[in-house]
Amino acid sequence: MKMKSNFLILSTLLGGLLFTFLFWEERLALNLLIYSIYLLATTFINPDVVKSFKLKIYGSAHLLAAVLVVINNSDLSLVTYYISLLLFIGFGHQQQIRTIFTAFLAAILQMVTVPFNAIKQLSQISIGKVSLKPFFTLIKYLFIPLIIVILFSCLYAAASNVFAHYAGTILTNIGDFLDYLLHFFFKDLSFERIMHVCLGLFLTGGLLLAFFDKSLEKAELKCKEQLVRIRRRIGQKTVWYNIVETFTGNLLTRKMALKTEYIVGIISFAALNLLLLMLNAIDITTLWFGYEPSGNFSGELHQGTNSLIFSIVMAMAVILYYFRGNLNFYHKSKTLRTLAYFWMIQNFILIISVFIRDGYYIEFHGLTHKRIGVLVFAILCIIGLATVYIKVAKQKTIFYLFKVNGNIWFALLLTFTLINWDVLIVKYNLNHVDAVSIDPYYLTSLSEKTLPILDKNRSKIHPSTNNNSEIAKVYQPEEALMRKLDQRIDYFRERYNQESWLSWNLQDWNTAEYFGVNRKD
Amino acid sequence: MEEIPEPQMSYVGKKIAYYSAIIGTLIFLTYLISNSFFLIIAGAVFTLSAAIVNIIVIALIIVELISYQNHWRRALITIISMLLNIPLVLLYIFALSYFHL
Repeated sequence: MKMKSNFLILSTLLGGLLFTFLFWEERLALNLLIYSIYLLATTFINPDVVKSFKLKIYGSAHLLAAVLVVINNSDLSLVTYYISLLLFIGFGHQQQIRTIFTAFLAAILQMVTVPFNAIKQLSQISIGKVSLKPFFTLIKYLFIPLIIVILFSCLYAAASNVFAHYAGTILTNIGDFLDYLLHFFFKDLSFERIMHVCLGLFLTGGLLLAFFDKSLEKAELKCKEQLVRIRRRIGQKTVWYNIVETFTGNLLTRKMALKTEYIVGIISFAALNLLLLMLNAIDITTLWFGYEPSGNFSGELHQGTNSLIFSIVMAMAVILYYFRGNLNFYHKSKTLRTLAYFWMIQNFILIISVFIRDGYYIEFHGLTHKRIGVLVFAILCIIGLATVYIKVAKQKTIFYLFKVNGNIWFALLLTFTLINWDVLIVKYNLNHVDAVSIDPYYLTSLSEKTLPILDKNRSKIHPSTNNNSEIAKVYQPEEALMRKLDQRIDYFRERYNQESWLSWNLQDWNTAEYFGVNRKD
Repeated sequence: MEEIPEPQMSYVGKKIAYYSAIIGTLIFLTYLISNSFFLIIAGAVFTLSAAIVNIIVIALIIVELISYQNHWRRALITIISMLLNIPLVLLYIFALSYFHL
């Protein structure tokens, strides 16, 4: 036990120092990969952590995300990196967890409670034969009174100016003394750097020291994936049920019988199917075959797509509502199921319409992040519908839906991070410049990794007059656009020169090679 | 199994929460229909007196809870039910100020 605590505390200290060495005044790139390798190594060496297959999978996913930060260095890769790190930590320290959402929550909880976890670990360590337990027991006794004293001091300071003056003087003197002490021993160290080390310690501690409370894991363990028919017994009511009962009297106890719910479900699904059939028929005749763009076609497509995606999400909610409980076990529910399946198929046709709409949009106006976002959302809707079908067909719970969808979303996130979207958008739009009405202001606002492509294709970038951008309103917009591009290239040169090898990433390196920028180190 | 009897104040509290909400809502709806200024005064007087009565009963439930700690769940439900009248009053005041006054 003591060995484990010593190892974890030493790893945290080392991690804090590594953090400040890697990230102080640097961009997030190669340094993230090095930090991740350190975290992965420490977690896998930690004897408290069971090296399960699941942990290895999420560890590999995190390593892939870190590599992608070095390769693509996009905002998406950073988001994926943070999510994968939190999932790895969540699953690492509480391995009974099954969904990514609980793992995410567990990791956040572990990060927030790091002072408590650190005190618990610190109280178990020993230097030679000397144990630090008595010292940290004292801290444990003082922690809550200290918080209360600080809180009341703030209140009294707000109530009395004289008290506030004395409190301020005492705090300033303490601060000055600590500053003097710091500069006396470490002349070259700045206060900001010390704070950065503390942040490193805090973060590394949060990632390595496990949260001692396992309530979240235990709570999730109660969730089942397979639906079971539960007969409601008296005395199983929740607090909220009782509160509502106070105001509604016996209205709650007059429950809708299963047969009534079944009939309501049949009527609802039949009506919704008919409605969607009409919409799909209109879409198939007007959109799928023989689409002719009208005047306000951009706005029309945008509006339509948003509504359709919302309707698909709502459709899944309606199905989940009807198949939430005992209707799943009703022996005459075959018709209802068939209607629900038919509605799912119709929703799938609706998603195809969304794809076609977005395809037209891309064909006429080029690629943008938003249009790609619509495609991604439509893919997520297909996955959602497929899992809802499994839920209804195999009598699964909503917990199962969350578990499966969460894992698929994470896998998709990793897959989409493999693509360098900014470069793809610029390349596609510039290659189709004759057929597509591109927005040069949008293209020049994308990340610095697109600068070489934009520089190569300067002749293809022409500003349009019907744009709301600030540049479009100035005199000679084409020159202003080129000036903006030159400014961005200059800014890149300046930035690249200031960074060390820790900020190395493939995209910056490619851009620097193109513009002939060399680092001084 | 013999059912544990509900503490007296919890029962009274529930009834008071229920009738406070009902009477308040009735005054509010009647005002919306009749637009009579008298009902504004009546509503204000009722709200004030209901607030005093509710506070006293909540205090008594808390005192009762100290003696009968195993009834904490019922006491909690009653207190939450009584406190729910506060957002209800705020909602009615907001509706009156927005649409009528």
